[in-house]
Amino acid sequence: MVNDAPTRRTAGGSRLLTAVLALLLLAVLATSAVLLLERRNDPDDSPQRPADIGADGWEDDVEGRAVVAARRAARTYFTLDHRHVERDMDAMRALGTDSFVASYDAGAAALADRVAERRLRLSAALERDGAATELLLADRAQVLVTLDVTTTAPTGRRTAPYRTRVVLDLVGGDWLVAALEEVR
Amino acid sequence: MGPLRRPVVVLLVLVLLGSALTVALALTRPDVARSAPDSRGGYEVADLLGPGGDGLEAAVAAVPLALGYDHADLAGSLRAASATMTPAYAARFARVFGREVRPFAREREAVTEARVRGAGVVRTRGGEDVVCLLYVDQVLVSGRGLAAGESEVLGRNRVLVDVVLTDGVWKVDDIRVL
Repeated sequence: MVNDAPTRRTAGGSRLLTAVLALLLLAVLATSAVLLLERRNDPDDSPQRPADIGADGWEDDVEGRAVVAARRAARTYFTLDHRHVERDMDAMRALGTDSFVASYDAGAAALADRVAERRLRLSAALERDGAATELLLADRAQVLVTLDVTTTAPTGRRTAPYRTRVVLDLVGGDWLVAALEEVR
Repeated sequence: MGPLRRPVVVLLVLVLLGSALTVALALTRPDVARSAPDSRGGYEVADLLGPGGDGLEAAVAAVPLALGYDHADLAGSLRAASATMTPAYAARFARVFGREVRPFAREREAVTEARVRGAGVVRTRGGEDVVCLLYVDQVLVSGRGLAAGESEVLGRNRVLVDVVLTDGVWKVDDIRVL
């Protein structure tokens, strides 16, 4: 009996150590699994080759369609006519993500009132070389679009140069406007 | 090694291997924040694949030298700008500099900075010619009529910059204001 006590203590210690190590292994494996899953769900942030505007078929590939979408968005944003301002704004909403539409709508009523009150008509002209890819990832693009915006009012008409940055997200194969910023 | 100690050793090895994997995954964790160029603060050009990306970086570095100058050292300003240009364009640029910049700079005792606010690739022609679009603010940071610490924006420009690869170096071959 005197000789059995150390053996039992050793066996008990080994079982405790085994249990602790098993718990540690589970914790380590769980942490690795979380890191791997996070990595799999991360967006692809690797840079892509930008559109080559003017090359054959540039409007057909995904990078070219980002530029086309940005040009359309910038033109639509600055196309407003007091006679059908709601229709013009709906055209802009149709090009945006849900979050863009929400931010657009935050100022839409005031803008519509101003356009209607002053009986304004806005139209935008774009040059062929007036758009450029600033950033292109697998599912996000930033495109610079320059425009000359003509504002016609009962009191007269003036044209002013604009610099815009259009941020686009690729959603279901379509580039949608996530943000549109005027670079003042 | 007794039968009771074998599982302990196996588990210990597995824990060590698992820990090494976790540390490796944590150290190579991708940056969750997606950085993108914007117009606030110092402009940083984004990575773009292909010759367009390289040409764009060169254009963003060169344009502030071409559109910025110091009345106290106009020759130095012109020299720095010309170093980023092809010889043919540098000659054209020097004529415009002498005709338009020099008189204004002397009259206003002007020091101007050109600040890039946006930059992108319009198109490439082969792998050695890139057309870029830049948004550039030309700012008078010192000059007659300007109080110390004040600045005045002289222009919010949209410029097309043509850069070409010459002997392995990207050089500005044209700057055109839209």
